[in-house]
Amino acid sequence: MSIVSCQHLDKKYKKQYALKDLTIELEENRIIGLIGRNGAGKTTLLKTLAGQIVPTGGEVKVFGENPFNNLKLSANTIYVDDQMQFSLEMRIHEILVAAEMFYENWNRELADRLIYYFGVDRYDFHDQLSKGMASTFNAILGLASRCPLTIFDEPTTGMDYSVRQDFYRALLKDYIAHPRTIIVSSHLLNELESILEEIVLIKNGKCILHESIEDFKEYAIGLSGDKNVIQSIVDHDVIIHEKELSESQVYIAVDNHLSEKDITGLKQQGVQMTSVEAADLSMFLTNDTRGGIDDVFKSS
Amino acid sequence: MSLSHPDLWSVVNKQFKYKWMSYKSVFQGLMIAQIIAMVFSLFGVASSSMGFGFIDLNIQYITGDFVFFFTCLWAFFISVALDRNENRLADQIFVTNSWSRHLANVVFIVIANMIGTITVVTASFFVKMIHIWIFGIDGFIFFGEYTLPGMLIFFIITFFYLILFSSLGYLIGSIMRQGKLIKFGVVLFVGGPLIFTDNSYLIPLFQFFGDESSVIWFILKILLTSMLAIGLTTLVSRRLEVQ
Amino acid sequence: MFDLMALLPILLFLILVIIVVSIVSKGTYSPNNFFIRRRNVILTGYIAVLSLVSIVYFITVHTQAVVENNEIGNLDEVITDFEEAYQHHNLDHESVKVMNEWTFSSDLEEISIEDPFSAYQLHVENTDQVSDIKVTQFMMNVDHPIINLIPNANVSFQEMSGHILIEEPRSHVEIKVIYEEFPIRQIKDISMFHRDHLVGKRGEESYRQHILIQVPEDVEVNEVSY
Repeated sequence: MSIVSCQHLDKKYKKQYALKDLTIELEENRIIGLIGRNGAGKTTLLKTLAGQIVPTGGEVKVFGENPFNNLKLSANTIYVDDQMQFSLEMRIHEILVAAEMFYENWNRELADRLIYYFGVDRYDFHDQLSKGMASTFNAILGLASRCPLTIFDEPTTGMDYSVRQDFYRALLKDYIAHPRTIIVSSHLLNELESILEEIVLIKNGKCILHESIEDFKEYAIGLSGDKNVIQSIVDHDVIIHEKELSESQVYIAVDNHLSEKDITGLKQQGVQMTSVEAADLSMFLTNDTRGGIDDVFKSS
Repeated sequence: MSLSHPDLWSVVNKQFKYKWMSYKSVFQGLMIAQIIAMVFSLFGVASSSMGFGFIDLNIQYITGDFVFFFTCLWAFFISVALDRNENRLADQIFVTNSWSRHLANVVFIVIANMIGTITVVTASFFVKMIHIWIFGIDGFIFFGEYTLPGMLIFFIITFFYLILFSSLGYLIGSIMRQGKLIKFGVVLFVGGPLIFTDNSYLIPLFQFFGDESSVIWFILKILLTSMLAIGLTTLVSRRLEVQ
Repeated sequence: MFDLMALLPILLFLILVIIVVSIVSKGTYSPNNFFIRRRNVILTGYIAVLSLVSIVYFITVHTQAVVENNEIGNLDEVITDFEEAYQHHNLDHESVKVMNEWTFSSDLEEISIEDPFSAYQLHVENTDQVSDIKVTQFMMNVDHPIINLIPNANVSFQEMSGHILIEEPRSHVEIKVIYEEFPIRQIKDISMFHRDHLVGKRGEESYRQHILIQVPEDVEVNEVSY
């Protein structure tokens, strides 16, 4: 059953589109990574799913209903980011009491253990916490509420490396024990890769790719060798990424849909074939340009 | 994972408890307003002089009126701020929709105003008792006996006045949040005349509520006005929720 | 109604005060604020103190005489009785309240009365019921605590010249009235600034002070007027 369904979703702010003709279906009980560069529309999409934003066009259904102003959706969804605006007059332990009151599946033991483990002071006010600590606390809230739809929008902002690792591990463990739909957004796939089941790439307000992580790893192939040889065989349209290694040598990443004939042809010409790391691939796909930062400095 | 199906009233109830935990400074404001009012009351709430035969009589009135009016202002200002963006975002973290939020705000206003009413009544006697302590009981004339029905009226009328001020504040707050220009307009066209004119245009408004000596009619008038104001607020604030 | 308009300047002042206070106390939102940490205790304590003092107030006050405005309004009957009584110089009537009495013995055949302020309504009577000069200050018998504030006249008699001097004792009286609050006044339909409720519909007339000077039959009385 699909838990989230967006059809031709548009969201326009003033003159600029944050989402444009975005169509996506998400299945129940998966961990889904939403990857895109800053400004690609990740936050807009997630807030739309959480019912905090009304799209300007298209249709969005979460749990089969319109999410905006929807009590059922609100009770079954939690949206976590680093901008969560808590009451300035509540201390951490009071926020936990409130969360327990609101969320049916709230697990107090888990929350308490995580709070203890990460060293969050229960008697602090939320805005007294450091940026990393606040992100950690928000992430704990997202985990312990065990909502059927849990949304983390860039949850690791400000966390240091070891805390990020711990968080992803906690997320995975709790997900395995209590499967639910979890969407995690990030501009980087690197650390996220190991826990994801599905990946959604978003660029300029559009969903450009939605694959299982296994398929995604096979999605592309890297070719390095003589520039002219590769360009003569590989169709220009399937090139995802291109990088000059030297005057004549080039590295390109292409869709993994080359025919047997092409592959043997390339091998005979001495072109090396490598698999493309998922993290690199996501970066190639979401980049605006085909080249890289090197191209900027290339003298023309 | 099975979905939960919350009903509106249980959410309103939870949201009220949440608001009770988070809007603590509201009651700090109440105490500050009332303590200031009580200090002012020590100098007498009002006085008048009259030639009384051969005696020049100077009458100083000691009542809890200041406390009452201050608390009305408190009710107004807390309601202006109640649905501000920060609070709405704080609601959004947990379970809410616009109906439950407005209803929980109304419940909060009602409960806060009940506390306001209790403190208005008791602070009124506090003011009088302080006067008696300072000046001794012999110098006073006691006008009007606080009978049980009288006390009941005191509570009821005070409570509904606070509700009136709160619901108007709630409406004005939501109008002011529509935009900077509108906010400026409200301050200019409501605040300006209030300070720079003789306020005679307010007389019909004051008469409508202040001259009503029937308890039933008074309550009906307030209920109607408040429901109108809160209904308008839900309409006006809808625009803000659609970001 | 009148109340509200009269209090409006004060209200505006209060609004200013509240705005200033709210600006000054912006810091109340800061964490660690004492009130935020201890809200429930402080609020409960506040209400408890106010309630306790209110109870003390009622215990203190319940023995005190209370003015109800309907008591004073209904005076017409008393007024008629009183007018009849004092015209007949019958001070024993229940509608008359005697405030003070003076008795002066004198052998003179002629006395004079001086009332420089004309503050009192004077009555002079030659009667065989007295052997000395008797001066009585009286008024209508209004059951009202204000009566206790009315000072005695200052009456002196000079035996040598036979001169009775009646003086206004003081001219300024400060009274404090513990009054009902606005919500109650509204329902009772009374205004704080309408003194009728406080001093009665006839106001000063009800409290007019009379002085009756009774002298023996054979003494001649001259009034000195100014």
